[in-house]
Amino acid sequence: MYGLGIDIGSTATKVAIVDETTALVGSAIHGLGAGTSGADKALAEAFEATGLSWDDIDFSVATGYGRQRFERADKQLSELSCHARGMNQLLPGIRTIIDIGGQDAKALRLTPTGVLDNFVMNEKCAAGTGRFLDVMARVLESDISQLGKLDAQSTEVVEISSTCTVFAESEVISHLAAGLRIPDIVAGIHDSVAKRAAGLVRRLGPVEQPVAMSGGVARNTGVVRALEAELGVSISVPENCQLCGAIGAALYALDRAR
Amino acid sequence: MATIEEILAQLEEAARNPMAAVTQAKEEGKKVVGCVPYFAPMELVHAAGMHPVELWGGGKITGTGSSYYPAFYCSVLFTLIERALDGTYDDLDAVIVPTTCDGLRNLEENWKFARPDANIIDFVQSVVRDTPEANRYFRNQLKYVAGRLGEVAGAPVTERALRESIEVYNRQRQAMRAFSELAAQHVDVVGPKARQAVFAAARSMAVETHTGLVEQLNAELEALPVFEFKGVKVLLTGIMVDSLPLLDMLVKNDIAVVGDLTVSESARYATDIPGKVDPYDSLVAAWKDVKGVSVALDPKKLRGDMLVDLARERGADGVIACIVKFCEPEEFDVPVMKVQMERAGIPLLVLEVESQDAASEQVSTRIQAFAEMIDMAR
Repeated sequence: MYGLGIDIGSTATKVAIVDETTALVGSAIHGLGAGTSGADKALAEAFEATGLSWDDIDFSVATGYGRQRFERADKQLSELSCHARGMNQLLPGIRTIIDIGGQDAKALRLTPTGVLDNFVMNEKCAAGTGRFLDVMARVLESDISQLGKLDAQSTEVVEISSTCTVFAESEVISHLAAGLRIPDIVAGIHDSVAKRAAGLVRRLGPVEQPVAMSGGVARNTGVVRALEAELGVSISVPENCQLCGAIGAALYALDRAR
Repeated sequence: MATIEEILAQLEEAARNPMAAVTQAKEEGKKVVGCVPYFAPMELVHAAGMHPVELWGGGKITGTGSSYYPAFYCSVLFTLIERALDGTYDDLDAVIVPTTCDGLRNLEENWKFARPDANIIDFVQSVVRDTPEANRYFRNQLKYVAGRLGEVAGAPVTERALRESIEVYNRQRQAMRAFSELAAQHVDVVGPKARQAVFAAARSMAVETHTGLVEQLNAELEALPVFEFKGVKVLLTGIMVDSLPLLDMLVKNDIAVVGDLTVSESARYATDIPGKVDPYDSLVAAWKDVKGVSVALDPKKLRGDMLVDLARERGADGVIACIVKFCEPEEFDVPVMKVQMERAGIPLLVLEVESQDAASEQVSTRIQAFAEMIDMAR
């Protein structure tokens, strides 16, 4: 018996397949999101890796920004519910999740039994999201995957005071023009993202620990470092942080299949 | 006797085309006075023998309003000035602009500047509402507005006429309170959009016509067996919840609206206008009775507690606060309301909304997640 979860985000599509024991038997991450061929490609990759096909799937759940338009799924669920469920599987007992994706950021509070208890999301603004980091990486002529390493080389963090992505970009350009070190600017960018994300977490009330991060941005160790400092807590990042929503969706699918 | 569907269709038609009532009143030879929210004294307009129509702006943002407001300003005010500029309100004989919030104070000033031909009646409500000095001040303001309306009407507003108008509006208040309760028991018949339409129709329809229709509707609803709704029941709160796509999202997620504490809906009908010897004192007392809304000073911050009580009374599973984007009074209410709701164990979803017919994918995700969260906790 297999349950499939597909998390169609704004910039990437993630697929997870679990068997009847809830073990993750297959997964794929493709760097194309909603409205693209990303869903088909991620599915093909996951099926190829497992030797399974759509016919082997007993139930499927779509989540993420593109969930409504993925009609092949048996059910659509919000990414909030799926992230909560996925994280509870990856790191049982987590009470607060900070999920920063391509175009939105969320803070989720879970009950001691791992059920979604409350959540907040960013408003219509790219500041503090993966998109913000994409823009900054481009300005810095760096690859997004290198930002964490650059952050670790920082010795004197440069403050980025603009919260707007567009203004922050101009601010970063002016810092570059002034000859400031790139690692210090990167650390400042991460602090800026952390401030926004911490603001979301605080809107949930006192921070319930333990805290974990999910979503693609969780792979950026610089952001995790900055968030830990901003919130004054330790933050766990599961190995499959980007798959968290897809795994949650797959587990809901398995529930239905049963 | 009209059917429920026919009554709702008539009210929806009025709600979706508010300016049609202006045209009709003008054709009947009546003068029409616009009443900008919040809590403008429509009773005075009625007592002056004119047709009041509540103006909430709305429609598309074309950009002309940016001459007067920053591009990111409150969409209610932004679209109000745009509609004033594009001539939508040209047929109005006067417009009462209360200054319940800072933005409205600027609207009144900007409207006069932008359209010198418009007859703007400024109306400054008292912030403090429970001292004799504040009451005296507010009464004088009402007398001033009555005087200006008398000039527009060509005859003074008499106390007798005002007393009669207060009775007419009290009958509407009673009908609307009854409707809110009955709609909560019949969410299969009165969906979120129909419910909103019943409230929104009151903004432009003749008060007697609207009350008559709502009374008929109530009678029809009362005759039906109570509907046992299995989905998620919510209360709405905010300044206004006019976005039809947003209301559609509620339906899509099996969410029913069983009550509200919203300025454009139940808040204005919460109590009767108290009977006083002096009808102006009645209107003063009515302003004093406005509770649980961000635009009327409340040192006790009762909004959250009122929502908790209403949620328990109506069996609501949660509350959705629809905060008009960049509305400071609303933003400032949220933290307190949140704590009050949390203490009572009632889930609260805070959404940022616009006055236009817009709702983003983000809003859709939040609504769906909120419904799932409540459903999974059952």
